[in-house]
Amino acid sequence: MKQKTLVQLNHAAMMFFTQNGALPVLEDIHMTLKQEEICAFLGPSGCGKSTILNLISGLLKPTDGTVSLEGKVGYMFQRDQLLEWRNIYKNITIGLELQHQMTAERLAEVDKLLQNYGLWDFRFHFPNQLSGGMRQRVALIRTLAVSPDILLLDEPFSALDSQTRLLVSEDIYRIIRQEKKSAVLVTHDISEAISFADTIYLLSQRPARILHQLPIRLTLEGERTPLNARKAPEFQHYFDFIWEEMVQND
Amino acid sequence: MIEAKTFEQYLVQRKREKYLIIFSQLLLLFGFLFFWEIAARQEWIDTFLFSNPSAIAKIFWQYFTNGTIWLHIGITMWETLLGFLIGTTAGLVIAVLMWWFPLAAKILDPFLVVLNALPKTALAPIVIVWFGAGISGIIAVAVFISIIVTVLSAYSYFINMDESKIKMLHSFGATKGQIFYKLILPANIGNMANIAKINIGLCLIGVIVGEFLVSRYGIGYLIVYGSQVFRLDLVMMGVVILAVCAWGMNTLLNTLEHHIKNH
Repeated sequence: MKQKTLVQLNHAAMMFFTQNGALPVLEDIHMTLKQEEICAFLGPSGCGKSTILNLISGLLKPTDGTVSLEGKVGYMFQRDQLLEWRNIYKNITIGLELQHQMTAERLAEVDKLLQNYGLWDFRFHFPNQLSGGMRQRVALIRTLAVSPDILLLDEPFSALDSQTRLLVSEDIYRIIRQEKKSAVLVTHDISEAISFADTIYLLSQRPARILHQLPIRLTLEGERTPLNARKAPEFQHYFDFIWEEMVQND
Repeated sequence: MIEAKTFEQYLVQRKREKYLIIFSQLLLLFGFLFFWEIAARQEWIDTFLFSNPSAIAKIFWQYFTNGTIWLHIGITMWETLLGFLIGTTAGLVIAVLMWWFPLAAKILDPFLVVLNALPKTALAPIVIVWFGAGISGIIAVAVFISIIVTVLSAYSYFINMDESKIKMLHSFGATKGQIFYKLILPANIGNMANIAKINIGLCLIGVIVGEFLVSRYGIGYLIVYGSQVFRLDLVMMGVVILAVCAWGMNTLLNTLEHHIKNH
């Protein structure tokens, strides 16, 4: 089966202008994302990873090269960015509200999402009554409510403590697979990238270039989930390889 | 203090504490008045300079029975209310416009800072000349005193909004108006209530200063008239009424704020 290409970056480059002059952030970024694929950009902090997401979503235009996008994108951020004065239901429907799409049909889909992902009983709670992991799940459902084709995940787990982080990444991975979405994950965590992605693009220091494009192939018993992936024999090989590359590049 | 062992004990303890506080407050107030009266009667203090509670009560009764007290209170409150509404509304509108047009905000910034640092009461005589020696001039002084602070503090609340929350709304395609209406405004309800509370006090200052300068009615007029004819009981009565009015308006705002927060 030939899958549809959703995102394509063609030798994209990005330059920012500041008081101190021109600052090249991205150079020659080349990637494709197909339907139901998850890819990860892995690189050191401050290398310009988030800029790639802004290019994909069209919030920024590349200074060189081209970006093509088929379908709607939805963002998920490092922090959940829930609005404390809105209850869970109203936080989740804010995207529909902003896009003037509060139709019975769309709201029925929201209800289904709430029921499927264990938030139905909490829909009239306020964000401060929920745990960090739960809040991040609300943030994902808020993004899914506007039915995007591609999820842009901007270090969505890095604000959580290590245990919650594993659980939430498991949780969010399952939801993405179940809803048959594609995703672009941006992270500086090697294990997280290997356990989550089908393809890893390893980035250099700023200005970020792609050092390697690594398809992740894991031999697993049972379903692939981030926690399961960590048990695959190849996991350590990928980790060691990426580690070596990152150290050499530093 | 004994630690409560049960919830009932805890409630009883809280109640006792509350009564103790109210009782002490009343004791402090009446003790002060009592001591003042005694000091005046024993001629420890000069009643010509300090007056005494019974004289203040007497003159209050006189103004109360002939009804003129309501005229003075009413005028002062009316001026304060109008000054407050105009100053706060206009200040907030200007702050919103500055948030909307960042370039305008940058251009206006030094002027606002200077206007803010300037003691506005120094301009009261000119403002009264411009706006007329009457209620309109007095209201203009109140507006003038409250508007600059409102603009500066509301604007700084607006621009200090968490950038990532704005980015989240942008990611759903929010317009600038939607960002204001769905994020900036609800996030700053509490801050705006604080601005309102500060403004009530500022407007009262403006109104009293204005009444000192031109008025023939109002509490400020009573105070300045009393001091000119050396009727300290009249001056003190004015101050006490002013205190009660300030307290009343603050309570009103607190109730209003509480009401809004719960809805």
